[in-house]
Amino acid sequence: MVSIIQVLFDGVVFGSIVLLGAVGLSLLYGIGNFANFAHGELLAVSAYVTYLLFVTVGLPFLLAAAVTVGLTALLGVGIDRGILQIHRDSGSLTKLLVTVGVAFVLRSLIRIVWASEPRSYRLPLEQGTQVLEGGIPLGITTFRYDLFMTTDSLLVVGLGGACAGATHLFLTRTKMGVAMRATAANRSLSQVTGIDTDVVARIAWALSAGLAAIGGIALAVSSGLLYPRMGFDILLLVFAAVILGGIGSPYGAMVGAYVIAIAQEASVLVPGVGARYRLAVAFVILFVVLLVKPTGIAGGSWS
Amino acid sequence: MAVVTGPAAFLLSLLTTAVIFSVLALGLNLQWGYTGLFNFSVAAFWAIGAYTAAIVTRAPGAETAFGLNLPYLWVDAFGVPVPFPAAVIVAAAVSAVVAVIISIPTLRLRADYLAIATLGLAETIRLVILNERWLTEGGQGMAVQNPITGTALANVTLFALAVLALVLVYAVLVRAIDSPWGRVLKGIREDEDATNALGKNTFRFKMQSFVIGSVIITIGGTLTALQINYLVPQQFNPEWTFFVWIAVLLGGTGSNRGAILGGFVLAFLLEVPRYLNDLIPYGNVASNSRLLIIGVLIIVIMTFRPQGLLGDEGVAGE
Amino acid sequence: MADDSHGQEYSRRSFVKTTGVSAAVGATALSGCLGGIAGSGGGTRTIGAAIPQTGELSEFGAHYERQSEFALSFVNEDSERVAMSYEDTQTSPNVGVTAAQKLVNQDGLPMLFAGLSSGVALAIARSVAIPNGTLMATGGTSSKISTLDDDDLVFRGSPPTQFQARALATLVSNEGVSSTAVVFINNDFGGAISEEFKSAYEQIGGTVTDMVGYESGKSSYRSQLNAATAGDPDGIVFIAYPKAFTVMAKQAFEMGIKEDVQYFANEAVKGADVSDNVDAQAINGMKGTQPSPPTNRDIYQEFIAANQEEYGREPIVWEAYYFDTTVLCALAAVAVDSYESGALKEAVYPLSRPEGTSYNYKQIGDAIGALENGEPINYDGVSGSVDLDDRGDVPGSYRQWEVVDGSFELGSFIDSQV
Repeated sequence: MVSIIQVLFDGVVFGSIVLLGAVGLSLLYGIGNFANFAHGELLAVSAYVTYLLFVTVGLPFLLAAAVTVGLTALLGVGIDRGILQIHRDSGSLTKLLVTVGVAFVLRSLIRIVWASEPRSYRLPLEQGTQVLEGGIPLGITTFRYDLFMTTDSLLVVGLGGACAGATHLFLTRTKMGVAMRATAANRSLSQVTGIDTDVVARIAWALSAGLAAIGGIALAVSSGLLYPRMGFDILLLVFAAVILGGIGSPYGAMVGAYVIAIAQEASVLVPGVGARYRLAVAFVILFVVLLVKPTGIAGGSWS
Repeated sequence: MAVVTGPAAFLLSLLTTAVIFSVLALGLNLQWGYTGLFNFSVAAFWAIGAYTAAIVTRAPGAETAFGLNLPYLWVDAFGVPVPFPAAVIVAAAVSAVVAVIISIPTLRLRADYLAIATLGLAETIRLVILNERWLTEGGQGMAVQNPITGTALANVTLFALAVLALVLVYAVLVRAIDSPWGRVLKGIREDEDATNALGKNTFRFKMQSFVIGSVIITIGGTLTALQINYLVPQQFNPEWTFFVWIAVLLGGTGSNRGAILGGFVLAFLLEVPRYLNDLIPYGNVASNSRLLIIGVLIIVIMTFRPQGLLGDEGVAGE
Repeated sequence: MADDSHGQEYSRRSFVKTTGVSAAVGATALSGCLGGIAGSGGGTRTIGAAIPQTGELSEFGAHYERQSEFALSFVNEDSERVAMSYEDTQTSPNVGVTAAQKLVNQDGLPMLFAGLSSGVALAIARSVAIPNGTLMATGGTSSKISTLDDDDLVFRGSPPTQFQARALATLVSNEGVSSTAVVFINNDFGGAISEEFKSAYEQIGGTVTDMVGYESGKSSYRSQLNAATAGDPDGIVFIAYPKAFTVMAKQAFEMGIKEDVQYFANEAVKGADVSDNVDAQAINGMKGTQPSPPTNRDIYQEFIAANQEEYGREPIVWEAYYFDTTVLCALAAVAVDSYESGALKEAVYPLSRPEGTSYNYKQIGDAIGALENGEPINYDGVSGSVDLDDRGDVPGSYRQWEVVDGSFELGSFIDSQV
């Protein structure tokens, strides 16, 4: 029997990674009113750039990661300035498709530079510690409560929480953050009150890309693997988390990320369904929530 | 062996692929172009078409799902195939049922939610195809009993069937769009609330559009089964949904002729990078340039001509 | 829509369509001129290769390209006799069929290597090779390829999976492991071997506690690993590709699974892609099987050394098959007078079989000389005797391997009990 506690913990760990992707995506959704399909590739690019700096060039890991986050943020700004700026007044589908184009370009560049062979940071491997062990017999089954953790996974959870907290502080305590919330709520009104919505959009891209970068590096560390499709492969789950939480609400995205990830891990507990249908389980959960609350958990509000 | 061979045969196979893409694009165009439905489940219905046709037409003696074994393609006494046999009808029926089931929870959602919901459902369908081996032989894949393969005019026959399908679908769509039903669909795309206010049950119309579009996509799937003769679940991954979307958007949203053109352009776009292999020496660059070119093209087209080649200005980007 | 715009639209549309189609025709014709391949009689003879340069099996496609180039370097030592023309299948059957169509119809090549994925290979075989009577070698491993109704047109240098599955079952049983779970990639390859493993293993008295399929492209396989350990098995058999296995190895180690069970795997995980990316601790002690030459161990070691020297890396087992398959194709190409499928088909089977003087890969030049004199030869491959049977398969014999200190070490041969 699988331990439910373990499943929950694994869900929280994976959820933290999804969160790092989902919060950024949600921000951009709120400000620009479009789905950024290039988001997954930003995760992938940052994982590879960190690989370049850490493995190929030899910088210490944290330095490589920090530099990468900065570079990816700049890349985000560049994409906004270079391409999305032209489309400020285009419809959301046009913007979505442009980001699909950007995503294809980024992915093919990754493949051209690094080829398709998988890579790894080869960080030191550590065995987890058995924190809890045992089970309570309940009739024919046993309720197991074993729990195995690694410091890696705790760090990822902590990182997710820290970024979520930092985003919250940014949105509520800084001038730019407030401006961002205003723009997301009502763009024209914000422009009237003197907020430079272009700058807001730029900062939103930088923030979104930066969070994506952290997410991408965390993903590569947690799975131990880099490969060109890694961004796209997680994008569907990130979108599901954003929608579950309510488009445009970063807080909803946080909740959505954990729900989706836990649902995936919990698929193993459903007899007859099992791990192979885990993606389907995540979507069923999404559906059920949307049936009950069609605008998502946080209903699209930013507060 | 074959009557048509050589470069002509290659061109014929490319054209067949293009025609099949056009059929898929016509289906999606009904759903998105005319009704404004953000349907991302194209690949799933494409799969349902291919697999259903293959499943119900297993050779005698092979294990069949539910014991059904319907003949695939009859060739009558004069050697001319009888147009559209039982398998396609069964596939259409199956996809209609699945489309109805999918549309009930999703069509009431707002646009981008619909996209992800349909994408998730499509992935679930693909997982069912992958995991339910008693039905589809799962990951191992399933052979298609295709009586026209190996005959002298195989490629020509396939092309003819594909064109026939295209013509029939197009004729039906043109009629439908010009009818009162079609006008309601356009009304829903422009402003659903207003249409509702006028007393039309928009949900019912959306469902009809979704179901008919999905059936059209399924027909494309049966043609694909005839074209490739061996089906594996990995064939039907979500990237193909994006490609068909690109076909519709490039060709022109809301225009049936645009959808046909888009199908051809898509087939062309996917094949041109092969020729770059001869020009570019670096293997890596050449094989990855396909994606690069498509990406750049999408950006360029959406920036300079977002309504696609033949679309109306009015539908651009909404 | 008003009538004029209909008219405008129509002419616009037909203009664009005509342009589009004529561009397609033009490109096709132009490339035919530029290509200028498929010479018959003297000159360089070209073999077509429809392989996954992108897509799921792209890493294996890269291995194939490397080995085919390597094989041709021996064949072309004196002169450029044989060349290879590559097309991408994207590991997708419909793209693969188009790729093969280009090679066979557009470029007119009478011989193909097509598909590393069985699904792609079967689609190409059924849609292009068999209808056109083209000789087709393949890297697909499904047993469905053995039973294809193909008029002897389809052959391969890699043994089909059921032999491997039986050897693996024997190994697991020999190690005293009586219950295992199987974690397998849910595709044509993994689905086949895992089923065959299960029936073979159960025949010799083992119990399979869970069959856990996985899909590639996930960043976490904890749920699969949890499912695999749910029945408390003594061992886990991994039928997996390197990318996913890298993730599983790391996570299984972190979850403490490594301590509790004995790992087994098939040869797909044995290679640089895993040993470069996975920490030794996570895989030490893992055992598995690989197809291997029954004799000629030395030639295989030499092949490995030659690869190290040329490419700086140790080849994975399948690269030996790719190498041998290409050599068979190239030798057939050189052996025939007129470069067309019928003759090639007649030529390739005999030169793989024991009748005739044996030549190994270092003696290819001499082999070619013999062929040009009309003498029968037998190519002795680096991966085995490479004797094609009448279904176009080669025999498989298997050795076990073990991970010691992070690298893969070969052990003794396995006598399959099943």
